[in-house]
Amino acid sequence: MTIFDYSLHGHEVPEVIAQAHRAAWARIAGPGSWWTGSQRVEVARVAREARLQRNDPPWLRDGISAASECLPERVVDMVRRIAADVHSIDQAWAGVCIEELGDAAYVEICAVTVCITAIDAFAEALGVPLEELPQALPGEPDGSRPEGTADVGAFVPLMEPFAGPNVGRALSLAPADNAAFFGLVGSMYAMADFQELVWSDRPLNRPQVELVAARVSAINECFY
Amino acid sequence: MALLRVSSNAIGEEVDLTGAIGQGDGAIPHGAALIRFSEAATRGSDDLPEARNALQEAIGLDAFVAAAATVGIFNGLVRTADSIGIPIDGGMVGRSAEFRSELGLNEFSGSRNTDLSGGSSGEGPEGIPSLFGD
Repeated sequence: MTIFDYSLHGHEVPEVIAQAHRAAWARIAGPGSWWTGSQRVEVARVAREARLQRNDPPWLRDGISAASECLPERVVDMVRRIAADVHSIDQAWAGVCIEELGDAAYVEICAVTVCITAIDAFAEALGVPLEELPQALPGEPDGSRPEGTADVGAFVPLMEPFAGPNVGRALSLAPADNAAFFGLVGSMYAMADFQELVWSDRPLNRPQVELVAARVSAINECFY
Repeated sequence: MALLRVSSNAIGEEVDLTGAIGQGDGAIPHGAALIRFSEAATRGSDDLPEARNALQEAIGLDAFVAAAATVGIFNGLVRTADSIGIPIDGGMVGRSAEFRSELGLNEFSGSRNTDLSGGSSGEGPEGIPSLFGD
């Protein structure tokens, strides 16, 4: 059975979006640089569960879903906070996580969490069931860490030099996951036409898209 | 927010940025339905089924899918920005100062990641850079 077949639910979703979702799913399932496929799929599960409970106060969520057999407690807390309470993240909290896990391992967890969040949020907005989580693939993390990064004022080093907006290099310590995430960005928002202010061949014009983007950002208290 | 303003100006419209904080319709076609849908989907509120239907009726199915895609990816992008603690981009501190103040954006938790003490001159690159920096 084909995954991310949105036509099953009566929606004509552009194939480029479905393809990007499949690619992100495959990326989540495999081993990364710091986490196994099983751990990454578990991150996705925890992120999904946390996001679905985002309207419950944290003290109610604790009794429901804290347990995870293959992830350190710190990672479970991290994923849940990113998925459901991202506005509560500050440098001190991130610093504790990074000190314990390492900066690239921290970024890999962030990357898996944001990928599944984007895909699940799309499904929920569309009104279709969430896709079943992928089966983890075997293999061990390779421990690789990219060169060419520097402190540019974020919680972790980013690719430097970089001529684009900071969000384009935010996940640069996890390059393969960053590529999967920007596959989602390119299919669901903009890529080559990001620099064009007038979108004349799309179902929504650019101000309409940016209004949605701005409202979502404001609800999440995102300053960036 | 800045892209909302400049893209509106590019087609000769003057956006009302308060739409981004949930007031009015942004002075954008179908803005009220887009805002209602964005809020309901992001919050996961009980209003979501009705907001979906209202938006589909207002803008059609293809545009509805595009709106849902935007909701989805920006729920990922905001988490990327705030989990990594990226500061806002060079030049934007000054250029966004006025509307940040007017809309209360400086009170957002993510503002902790940017030094807002400088950059009040409004200087900075005018164009939109590539997402990949090339």
